[in-house]
Amino acid sequence: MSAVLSDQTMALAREFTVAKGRLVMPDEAFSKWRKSHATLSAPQRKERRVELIALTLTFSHLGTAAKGALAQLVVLLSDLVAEPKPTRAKAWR
Amino acid sequence: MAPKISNENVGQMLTRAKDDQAITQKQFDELLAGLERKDTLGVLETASKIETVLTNGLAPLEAETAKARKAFSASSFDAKADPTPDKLLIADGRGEDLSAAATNFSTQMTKMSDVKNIVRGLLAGIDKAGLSPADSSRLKAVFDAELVSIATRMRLGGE
Repeated sequence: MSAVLSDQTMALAREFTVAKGRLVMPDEAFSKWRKSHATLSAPQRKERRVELIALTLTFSHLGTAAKGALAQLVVLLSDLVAEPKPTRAKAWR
Repeated sequence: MAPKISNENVGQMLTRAKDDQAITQKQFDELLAGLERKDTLGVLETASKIETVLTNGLAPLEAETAKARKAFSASSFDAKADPTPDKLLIADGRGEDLSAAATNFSTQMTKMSDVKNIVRGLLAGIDKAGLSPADSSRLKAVFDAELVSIATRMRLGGE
């Protein structure tokens, strides 16, 4: 196991920003990452799940100001735990 | 089936959190810089355990806990040989000092409990990601009562 978060996950972490004292990822970036996660392979999904949980643990150190960010991380995690939706092409097969 | 959640739901949660404590961009930037500099292996190991439970249920973690408990039960405290409360001796008489092992065991059990609580919180949150008002309250409670309070006891880079 790597000792540090991957570049991709660090890029995701940098999408969070502080607005009015609270940590949150803007809607556009949030949607982008949700779509991006839908394209990951099974091993990549597992790796991203672990790293997002690590981010969740880390952000929770910020207390209730990170509540929105934590909710968004749970949504991203739930996407990664759920079975990926079939693509339109596969659905017609 | 993928849980449903909308950005509006997240926005509602943020609105409800308006009276909560605030942080600054500088504080967050420092946290990110720390993540880049610091060895995060400890927190990643914890995250890996949580991920295992998230995908496989609690059974593997319960088995690991039971294994640790069984290993600890194989040793015994010999009060006659050494009444010092923190001195533990292996039952076969080898006299190995297990006080460090006992401390480690206690730490491990606490970590197991923490991990299980966090996982239960995450599972509850994910199960309820449809976020009706009652569900979002529950998710909020999960973060308030479990994840936040537990994780503050777990230092970045190891427990």
